[in-house]
Amino acid sequence: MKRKLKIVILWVLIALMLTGCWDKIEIEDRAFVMAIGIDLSSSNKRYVVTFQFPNAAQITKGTSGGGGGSEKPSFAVSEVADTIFSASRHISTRINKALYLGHTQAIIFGKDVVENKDKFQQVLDSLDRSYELSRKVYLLVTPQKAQDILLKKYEMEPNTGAYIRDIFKHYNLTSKFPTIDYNKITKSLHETNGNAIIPKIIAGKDEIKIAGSAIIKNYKLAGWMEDDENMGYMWLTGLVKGGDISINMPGDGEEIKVPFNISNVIRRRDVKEENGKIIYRVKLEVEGDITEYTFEKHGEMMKGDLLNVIERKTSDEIKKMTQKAINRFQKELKVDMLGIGDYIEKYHPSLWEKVGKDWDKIFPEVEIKVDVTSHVRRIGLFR
Amino acid sequence: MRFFDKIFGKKDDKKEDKNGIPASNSLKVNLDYIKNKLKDCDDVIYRDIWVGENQQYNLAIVFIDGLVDKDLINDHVLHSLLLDSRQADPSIEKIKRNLYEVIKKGTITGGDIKEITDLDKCILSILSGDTALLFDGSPEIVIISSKGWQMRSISPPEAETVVRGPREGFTETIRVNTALVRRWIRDPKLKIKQMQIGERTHTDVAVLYIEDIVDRNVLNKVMERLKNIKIDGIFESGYIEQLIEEDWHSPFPQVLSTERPDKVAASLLEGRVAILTDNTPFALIIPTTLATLFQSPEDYYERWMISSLLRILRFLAAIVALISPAVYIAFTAYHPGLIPTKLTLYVAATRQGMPFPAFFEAFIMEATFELLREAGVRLPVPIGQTIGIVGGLIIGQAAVQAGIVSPLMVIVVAVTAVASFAIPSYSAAIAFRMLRFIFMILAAVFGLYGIMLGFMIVLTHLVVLKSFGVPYLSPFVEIDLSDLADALIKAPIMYFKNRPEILDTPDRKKMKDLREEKIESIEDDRRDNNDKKQ
Repeated sequence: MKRKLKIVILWVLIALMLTGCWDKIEIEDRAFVMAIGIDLSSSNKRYVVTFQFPNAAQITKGTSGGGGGSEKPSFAVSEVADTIFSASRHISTRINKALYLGHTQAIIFGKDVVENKDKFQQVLDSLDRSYELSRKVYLLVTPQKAQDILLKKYEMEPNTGAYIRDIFKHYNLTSKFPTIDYNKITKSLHETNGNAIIPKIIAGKDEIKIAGSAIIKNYKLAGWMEDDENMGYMWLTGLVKGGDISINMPGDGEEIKVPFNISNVIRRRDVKEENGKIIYRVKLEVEGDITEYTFEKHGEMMKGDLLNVIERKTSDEIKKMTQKAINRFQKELKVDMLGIGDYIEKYHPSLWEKVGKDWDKIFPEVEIKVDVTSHVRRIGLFR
Repeated sequence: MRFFDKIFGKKDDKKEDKNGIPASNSLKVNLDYIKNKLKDCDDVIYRDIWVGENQQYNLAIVFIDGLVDKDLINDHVLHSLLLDSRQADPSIEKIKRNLYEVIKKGTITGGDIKEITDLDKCILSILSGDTALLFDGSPEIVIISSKGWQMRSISPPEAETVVRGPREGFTETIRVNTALVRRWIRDPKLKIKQMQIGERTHTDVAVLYIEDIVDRNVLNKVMERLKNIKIDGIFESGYIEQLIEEDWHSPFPQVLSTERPDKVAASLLEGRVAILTDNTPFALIIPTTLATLFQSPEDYYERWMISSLLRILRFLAAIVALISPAVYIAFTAYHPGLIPTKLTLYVAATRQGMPFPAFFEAFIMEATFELLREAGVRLPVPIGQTIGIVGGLIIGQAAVQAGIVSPLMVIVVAVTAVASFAIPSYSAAIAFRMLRFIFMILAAVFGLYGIMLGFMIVLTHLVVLKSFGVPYLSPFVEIDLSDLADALIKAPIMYFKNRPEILDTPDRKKMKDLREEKIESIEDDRRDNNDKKQ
């Protein structure tokens, strides 16, 4: 019995000594950082890191109707430091709580950070090593200063991090920005030696807007993608889950715009090698609804080949978008961000063995064919 | 085992010779011996009587006032001896030859009598409520069973109520209790072995089993351990439970106690052994496994779907009762990243300005709850309600408004309390409630890691634990499909074809498969039809 007891005590002691309570901080003593903004100082040598976190005391007051509108609903604190890590430590001299990054929703890079290759790499390394950060954080790039976005209070949702996350939640309502999170971006950066697409964010007067994306080539900003080009990229990479396309239909006199509301997309890919040339084929099958059409014409929807015309025009529109994106990546930037190399590596490993080594040179020569078939499934209901 | 040796004494100890004092021929000697032994016992009543045509035979009856049925003694002993015997036929010669035989066989109209010649045994019988009839000139003593004292009538079991099922519970009298079980099983194979334990209390203890179903190993173990008990007194079946259980370190009950005769009867049919103790309405069922602690008799009376759902609910309730305050502590103090963001912010908001850390807060609240529960048990019913209201206010509203505890903590405590009462076995519920505090400490020191550590310790203990040779975690440890039908879920009744595999029952079959019978009858019909056609 005594021996048994000794073993148990020893065991408990080992467990005690080898672990300890190093991260025990009561929940009310933590500041839950919802968004982080990273900029460079004016001399481009130091970082300006902005942490935005909600004022916990204010959260329940809002629901229980305690009135208190004078207190700030959230705080944003900026710190200038040599590294990101030291910024998060130095800031503890100014706030009464411990920063906790486990619930961070978004990290915003200022334009100057992504333009500076060394600094950007350093930032990414720091993020990769953080044990608290979730891999589901959304990374964003702004053409402005990240600080400017986070220091503002938006009336719609003063908690900017939650605001950004909520916008990302309705990715299937619009296809204006690629839904890529931290996980996908770092994977892309590490696998392709510094190439990635990061969604773009801009701040308006009293709101934020996420639309378009930034192209990172070799850990450096290579340009921006907007509307059609951005959506073309999303078509090719299978990110389109919803949204709408406007097509022009002949009306009385001038053309009228008809929205095609995407409800389902099926993407099939195939690669072939013919005469030393690689042919990459993307087949898109798009299903959707027509939700608006001028009243008089509505009756004609079922007549003739009007629906066929709409379907053909939609397909053409999508093809045009994809062509823009292909031009950008294949002709201009000559980087494969369309996932072609990835696809070949995964599904045609024998081909990848041949071309994988100098894929960067082969990629601009690849023939990319896009076939789009659209189907109008519903033409709208009348009440 | 050393512990058992200490309590039970070494197995090879020679038993004391209990030859007792043989009764003599003289009534006076016998009576004096009894009177001497029962000196200063003023509740003993001695009655000298003269019997016979000329009142020439000297007899005496001895009994204890209050323990005997006085009507029975008046009508069937005194009346018979004093009045009826005068009209009796036997000739004087016959009587002279053997007065004792005549009276025993021809005069006393009481139903249950036996004869002994040992004066000590006679005294024991008198103390149990029997009446002793002593003769002058004969060493034999007639013991008339005249037990009849004030007892509680059969009432619904208070700790184990069911919505559907019989409402009767055991009482404090062992005879009534054995009769209650007998009424459920009218089988000559139902054996009721009775013994007296306790050197001073001589408490009646009955071991019940069904001869051709019971697991012999378990029965032998029970018998052996009961026989080895050497104690001055047995009160309540809890004494026996604690003296025969395997591991007294364990917080888990290794013997199931119940006040329901139907539960005892059903357990007997499964091949288990039941122990009834005099003066308590609680029967013991042996062996017990963790799964049986989560079974309610109602499970078998209701249809299988609702029973299965309820049983899963009970297992979940046990886990909730065990770890929910610990999880609250671990999440708030160590792992705020593991709960959804909105909830995190809400918890952080509700805990703003709290004077105590989460562990202390949880500990205070849980301790307060236990305090209220204990006070509620102690207090008489009318005042008990007041405590409920006052306690409810203090534990809930006031503590939150004063800013001492967060509203979420109150919810956690409430859920834990409710969950712990969803476990059918009261003693199992206590075990879970007790372990909850250990889990809270572990969570406060190690976070979720501590909770996992606690689970591992508890599971290790449960795997090792045995109840009378049967693994405590069976049927979960030795995966046996037919036993699993009555563990986490309660399968439809046609799956209970056999008795539990964990028990070594000679008669395995519980039920003939209804479906097999159906198939057979269909095939028979088909054959008949074919015959007719031909």
